[in-house]
Amino acid sequence: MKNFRIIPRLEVKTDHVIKGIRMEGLRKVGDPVELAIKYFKDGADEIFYDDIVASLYNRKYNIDLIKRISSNIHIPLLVSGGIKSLNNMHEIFNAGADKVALNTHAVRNPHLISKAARVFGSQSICVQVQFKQYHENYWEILTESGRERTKKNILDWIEKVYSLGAGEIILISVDHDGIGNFIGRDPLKQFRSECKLPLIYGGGINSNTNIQSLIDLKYDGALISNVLHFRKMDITNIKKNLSKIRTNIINI
Amino acid sequence: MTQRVGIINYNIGNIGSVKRSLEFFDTNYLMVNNAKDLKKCDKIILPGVGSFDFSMKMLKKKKLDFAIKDFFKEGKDILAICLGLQLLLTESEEFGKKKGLNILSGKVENLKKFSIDSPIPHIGWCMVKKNKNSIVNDSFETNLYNKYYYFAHGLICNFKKKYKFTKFIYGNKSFVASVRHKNLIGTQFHPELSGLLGLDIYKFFLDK
Repeated sequence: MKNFRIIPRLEVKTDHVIKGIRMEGLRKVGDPVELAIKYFKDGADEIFYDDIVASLYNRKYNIDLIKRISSNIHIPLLVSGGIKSLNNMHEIFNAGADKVALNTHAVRNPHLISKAARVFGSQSICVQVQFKQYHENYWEILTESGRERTKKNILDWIEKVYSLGAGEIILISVDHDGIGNFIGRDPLKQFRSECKLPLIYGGGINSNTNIQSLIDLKYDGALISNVLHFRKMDITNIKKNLSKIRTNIINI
Repeated sequence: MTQRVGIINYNIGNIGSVKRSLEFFDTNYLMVNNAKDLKKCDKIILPGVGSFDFSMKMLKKKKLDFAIKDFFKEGKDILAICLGLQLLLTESEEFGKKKGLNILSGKVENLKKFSIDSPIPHIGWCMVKKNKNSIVNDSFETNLYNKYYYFAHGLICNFKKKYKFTKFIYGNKSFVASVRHKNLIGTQFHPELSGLLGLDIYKFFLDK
């Protein structure tokens, strides 16, 4: 099967795509609409729009920006950041998003996941899980763009999110985010074996070898940001060199 | 006079991508909220968003259930996408047994029943294939063969009658990817999210 997805992640702060190291020390890298169009044309399988300050500063996501991105691409748009309620989801879906990813507010109020799945269907509700390793075999999930500890074990949370009816999980390793250093095979393997849902991984992906190992471990997709924004990798090239990936793309 | 296309509104919301695809072809469209709106339409789209139960309740509340059946009987074109297609079947087992519009004879079943070795829901791009027994009458089916389209669903259509359909394979089992029946086109995948190849399906539907 060739359904592994290459998903560019646009971390957005006040109208700009930014990129930090371990989610801190942010720097501007471009215009979200332009980058989304470029990645769509390059053959991305989906675009992940992640408003990284919405929850942190308790601000509202930028509906106009979501609209402008969605009206220019013909692939799924996944939106995350500061989504608190079914009304927020209605508004974001109306703006053209196809899926939403919940994080901070799903941790605070897990039943938001089940309520959302009942209305929008599980396939539209994704949970973003940011995590950090604290001991051997203990990874804790974090909220508010990797700032707040939660005392929740990632493995328990993966199970809980599944039982509440989420349709997909996105894992982001805060330890590896933005530093171009890939996570070990063992934790990836463990997370995959504990998760019954489609599973996407992001954090430190910097080579085709990293992506290939996710494919080998039966992950469903890779979130890529830094290496794409700084043109160290490009999607056309990734697709040329890896198997099990959709290749007959005509988006230009 | 230019044709008018209706988008059936279940009040769920993620139909931005359907609108965008229609706008791509400068289509004159409207949101259909009741039987009166439906009368103004030459063709309709049942978008693939939401859950079966919620959407079916909304159709009944808006008195669109019988109106859509009549629309089909009048021979007007319908494009039904993912959940929109599933609503046309006899019944569904999403969140308990629920009755559908019964335009197509069959049952919407949970992928979990098929003991497949891949994650459920099925989310991602998948190749559409020829179904051996299907008789092809036009380019619609042949254009789909061996190309990738975007799927996002936990339930599938299991037909009780022999319709013309294409298939896709997930977890070593094969399921219905698209179906043609009279004036109806149904797709389990999302043409509006399937890049430029998906837009070809909109074009086919709009040019009919």
